[in-house]
Amino acid sequence: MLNLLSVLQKERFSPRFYVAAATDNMSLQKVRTLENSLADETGVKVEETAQFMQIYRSREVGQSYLTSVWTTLIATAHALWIMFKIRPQVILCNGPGTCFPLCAIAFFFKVVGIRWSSIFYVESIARVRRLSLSGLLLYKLQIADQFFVQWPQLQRQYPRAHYVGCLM
Amino acid sequence: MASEGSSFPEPVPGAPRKLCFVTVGATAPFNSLIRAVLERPFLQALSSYGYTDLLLQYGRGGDNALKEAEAVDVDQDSLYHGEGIRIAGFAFREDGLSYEMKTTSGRGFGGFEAQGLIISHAGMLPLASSPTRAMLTSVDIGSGSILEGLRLGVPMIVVPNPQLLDNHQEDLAEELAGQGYVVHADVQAKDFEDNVRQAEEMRQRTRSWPPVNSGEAAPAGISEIIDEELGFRNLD
Repeated sequence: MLNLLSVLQKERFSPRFYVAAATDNMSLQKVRTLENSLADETGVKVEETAQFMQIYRSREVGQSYLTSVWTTLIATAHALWIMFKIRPQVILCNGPGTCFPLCAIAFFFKVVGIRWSSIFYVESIARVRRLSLSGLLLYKLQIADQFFVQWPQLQRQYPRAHYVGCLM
Repeated sequence: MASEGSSFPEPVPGAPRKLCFVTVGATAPFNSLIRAVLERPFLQALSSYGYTDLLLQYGRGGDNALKEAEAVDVDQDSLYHGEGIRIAGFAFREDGLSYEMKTTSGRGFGGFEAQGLIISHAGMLPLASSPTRAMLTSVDIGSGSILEGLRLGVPMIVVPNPQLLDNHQEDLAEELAGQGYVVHADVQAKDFEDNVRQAEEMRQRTRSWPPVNSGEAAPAGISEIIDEELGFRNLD
């Protein structure tokens, strides 16, 4: 995500809200460091351009699918709350797992006409031949407005995806 | 014993310190990898290519594999060594392995002047602070050891863990090996030490990361696609 952020024109995307999984301690730390140095460079207070929050995961790696039903519901409720709080115009996610409830809710809002968010999904660099479950759902259900993969093999299998090279 | 009939070169006396760093990650124990790098033929291979030190991030319970290794001795200061290689290890690092990775980069970190070698599990997960729920988090900020190694341009041996069932990790290891970025190793192979030779050969021809694709369809610019979707026009 950090390399991905570096290729985006950040002045166009402000304020930036970073949402990471509740059990992930390292990602927000790293992004905070990036945003702090950006704020130092531009002389703006970091609180004005970036905020950081954590969301419950729908499913942990290795968790049984049965208990996942309940944790997915909780994650979805939490995602709903976050979506109301942030009200984003652009959602950029780089899966897997954490982002699905947020994207699904954003999509639902679009469909019923509450709010319009553009949804961009970048599949993990670790996915060379097969999509992750989140990726597959977002692709098949056409939830993402643009779907990005980092390896050409995936683009051949999923033609609506854009191959954007290794971003990490 | 030693190098009779061996095709390995003789180590140079007084040569700069050179580190082989092994990381098993935080997802699952990978004691079979620790055992494989502590086998006598492997330590001999390291020694013959001028390695002076072996550092192990051995994960939960991995210290047993270190203590039980036959080719490893403990001296009076409780320090490990085997076949002339100094050996040290730890289970996890709270804030990641960036420093340890850099000690293999040949830029003098930690006193290691020569570029070394990274032997990594095939996963992409970052090293979490402790092996509890945090270790199960799947986070894709690109901080897994494979990516750090690629960015540093250090020769790398990637070893999938046969105990982890979902092996899309294998796909990545194969792809990277096919493009000449890493050596893809099988922890159960009988001549596991041959991977050291392959990694040394790779040192001569390190490729820059990320790949510049030639012959393939050129990658699209993600920033441009996003701007177009959002209706931003180029204001320059």
